[in-house]
Amino acid sequence: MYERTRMTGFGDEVKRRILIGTYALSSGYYDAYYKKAQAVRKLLRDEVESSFKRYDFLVSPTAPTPAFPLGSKTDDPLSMYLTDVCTTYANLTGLPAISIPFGRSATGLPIGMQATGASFSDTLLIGLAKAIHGEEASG
Amino acid sequence: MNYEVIIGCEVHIQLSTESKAFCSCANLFGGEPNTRVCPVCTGLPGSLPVVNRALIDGAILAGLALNCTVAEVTKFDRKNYIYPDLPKGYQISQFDMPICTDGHLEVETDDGETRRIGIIRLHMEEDTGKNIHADDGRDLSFVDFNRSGTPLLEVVSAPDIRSPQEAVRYVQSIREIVRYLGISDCNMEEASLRCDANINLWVHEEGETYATPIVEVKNMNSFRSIRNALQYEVKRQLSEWKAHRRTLEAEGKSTRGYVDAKGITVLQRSKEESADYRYFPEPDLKPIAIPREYVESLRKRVGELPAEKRLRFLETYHIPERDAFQLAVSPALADYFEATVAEYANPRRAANWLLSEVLKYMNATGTTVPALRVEPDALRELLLAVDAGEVSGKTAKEVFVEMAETGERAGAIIERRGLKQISNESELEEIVKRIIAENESSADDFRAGKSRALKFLMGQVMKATRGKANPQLADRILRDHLRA
Repeated sequence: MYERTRMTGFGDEVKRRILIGTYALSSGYYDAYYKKAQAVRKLLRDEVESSFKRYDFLVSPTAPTPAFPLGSKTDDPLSMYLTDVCTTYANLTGLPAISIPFGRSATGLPIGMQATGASFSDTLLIGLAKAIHGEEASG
Repeated sequence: MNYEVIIGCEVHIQLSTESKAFCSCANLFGGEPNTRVCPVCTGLPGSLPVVNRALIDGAILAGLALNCTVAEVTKFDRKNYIYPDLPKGYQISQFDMPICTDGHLEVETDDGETRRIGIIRLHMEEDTGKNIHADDGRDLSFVDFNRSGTPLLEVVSAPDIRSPQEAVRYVQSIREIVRYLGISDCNMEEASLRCDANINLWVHEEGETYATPIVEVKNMNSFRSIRNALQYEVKRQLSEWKAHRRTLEAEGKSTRGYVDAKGITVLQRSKEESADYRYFPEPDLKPIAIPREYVESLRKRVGELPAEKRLRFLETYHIPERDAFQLAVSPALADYFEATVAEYANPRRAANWLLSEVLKYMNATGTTVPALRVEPDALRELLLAVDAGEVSGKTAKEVFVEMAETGERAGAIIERRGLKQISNESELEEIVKRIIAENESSADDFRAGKSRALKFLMGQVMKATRGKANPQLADRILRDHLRA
């Protein structure tokens, strides 16, 4: 029952990520993958955090492209992962970030602006969002 | 050919904290299934653990009592495996930075010597839920999560234990210490004390030494089981060795479960099937820094442990070993004893009284030492009265009960009820002389060799004094005067 639940209950992407995580932690690979990844993460965090000595926010698009049609990347997990490339570093560094609606593309699809701030600057980020976007949430 | 038995023990202790290790569910035994659960201990998505400080305190206390070094920084790790009673798919445990390390415990060997058993580590973790298999023939199992998240301490010994009986004594010592600290009930029946053992043999043959494969023995649920399971393993490994000569190097470690009904162990897991737990630091719990002042403040709570106290009682008060054992078991009783004998020259009598009359009263009425209405100095007063011959031992027992019921002092009760024995020699002499004079025939009978006559005469003395004559004194005076 346990196996069947996990086999049908988890989608392909979830299974993929579970397997990747298990592999990275498994005996013999922990140092090469997990430990090294944590070290890289610390470097990344230190570097990004140091930029907040000079700047209040770091700004970038929320996604590298406007929204793509449903199903157009499902068969290509890697290109799917790359759509997260602007936002994953908030998870990696643990720093607060916010996505603010910021106009439309040539074909009318919405575009987002991401702002990242120093640790615990959440209130500042919300203030920035209000200043750029106005008080009301967009429809 | 001869051999040595090499044993290491892993003991799991369920702490009797108010709430579970990482959530505020009540930490109690039994109850309707799945009534003491919450999103945290059932591993629901989005739930987050919070450390229960009592778990940390319990670990430090136990570690100090076992002579361990308490870490300056400790952290939790995830131990990953899939099993129905493990709701998160991992157990929050400790891997490479356990809270306590490098301890030891002295245990009696089979020859009556003392052996120091090393304690490699003591760490904190949470318990799993409980699988319950349908007992009505249906192929169904149920999971009760009441136990999930209960705080556990795991104590891992070095492979210093040298016999099954010694292993039992080791576990018993741990149990005594943990119960003394008041942090666990340590009951094998309720599974608040669990034990697995790793055992193999070192076989010495013609100048060479060979190690047999290590076996982890599980499912030993009583002290008797521990002894039987390990004794069986020694025999089994010995005959295995004689038949196949497989060594530890070649074969590694396997897991066997003890089957109490048959007195044997059966293979559960071989080396190839051992799990990869993929330990990594628990990201939801920050590492914990333990200041030295905090450790010292807890060290005061450890106090003197039972083994030390027993030794001190034997050496200082010269009471019988059995009494020392019994007194040292309960901190409250031990303290009461010491307060009584602080200004009393007969510790043996005090110990005897505490362990017979006082304990009898407490058990009969369900009174605890703190609730006892007889203070140590009041007991001392009573004992001194007995020593001085003011009351007989028998009367004193009644007086004690009255003291316990009313809180009245011994002197007052003796006075009020006129219980004072006649221990005045000249007073008794007068009475004895008179009795002898009034019963010349009996006196002659005694002088002629009829010892029963003495009893009659003593009875007369007692009658004349309304039972108050000090029996020993009266006896001596009677005999003296009959001889004359």
